[in-house]
Amino acid sequence: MHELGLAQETLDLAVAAAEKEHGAKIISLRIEIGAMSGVEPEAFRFALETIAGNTMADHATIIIETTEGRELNLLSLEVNHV
Amino acid sequence: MCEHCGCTITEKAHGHTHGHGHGHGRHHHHHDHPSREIEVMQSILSRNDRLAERNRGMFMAHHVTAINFMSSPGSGKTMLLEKTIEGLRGSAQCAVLVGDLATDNDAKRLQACGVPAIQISTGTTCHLDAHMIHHALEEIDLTTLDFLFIENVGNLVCPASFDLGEQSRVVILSVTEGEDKPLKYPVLFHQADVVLLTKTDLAEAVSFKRAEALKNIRTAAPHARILDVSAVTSEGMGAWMTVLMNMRQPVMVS
Repeated sequence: MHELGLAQETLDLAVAAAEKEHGAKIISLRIEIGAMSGVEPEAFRFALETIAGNTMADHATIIIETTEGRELNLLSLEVNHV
Repeated sequence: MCEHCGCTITEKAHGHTHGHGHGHGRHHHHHDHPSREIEVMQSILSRNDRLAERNRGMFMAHHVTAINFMSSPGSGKTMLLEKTIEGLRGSAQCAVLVGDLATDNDAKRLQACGVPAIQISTGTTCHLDAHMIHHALEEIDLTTLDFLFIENVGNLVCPASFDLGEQSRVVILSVTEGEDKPLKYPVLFHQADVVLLTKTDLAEAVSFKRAEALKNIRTAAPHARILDVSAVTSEGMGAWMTVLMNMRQPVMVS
């Protein structure tokens, strides 16, 4: 549950990280979701794709790695500067 | 690793539904421009966790034992807290933070027990988070407090994901809910330090299968201490008081 709220937190973190490195567009995001985190990967993906529209992460590829623990991490982003 | 998009989803979960948003097998237009990878390595719950640690720091500084009570709606959280407060009268100072979507009924009931009880109205949010606790703490004087009981929103799903800064998590399961709830909600039960089996006075009326329930609780929460309590008959309340007072012992580090 809360995939939408968590997707928004993720987007905020990603945009902040990209802006700090003077990125113009986010090409992809790599996210780690643990099986015991209470977050459903596909619902999270759908939420993130939805809210990324009209932001610098619009149409970014969302790469989700699943683990067995409680992790819910934004691992990295790929940005370009144009 | 998936050759289409580089993901490393485990075999079991690999449904490959992420076909939208970009074209597989076609040259991606955005790879025409040089791109680079930025490492972030940050928890998505970092904002909540930061506030939770601030809450935790405040509790520790004032030697307050904060307990997060979680359960489904109607399992008997409020009544159990009323009886707990009654049992601690004279031995410990208590206050309560209660989370509900609507009404302040629970806070009123707890205030009637003679303790500070703050209602956190979450609106449409189905769980308490660290920010809400942080805000509510502005109304509580921690200096003379021993216990802060946090009655979470009745929900076996969402509260599990949000650290509030508490010392312990207590999950309440009433005998009327069915023996398999711990298996149906493993994430929340797994986090329990204590599982309270409540409304034991109704066990016979609902043909409660205690052995099966205990087995399921132990499967989902192998490290949890399990106690039977009835707020109505006071069965088990003495043992629960002891567990609570033991939570107050400082950790001895040699």
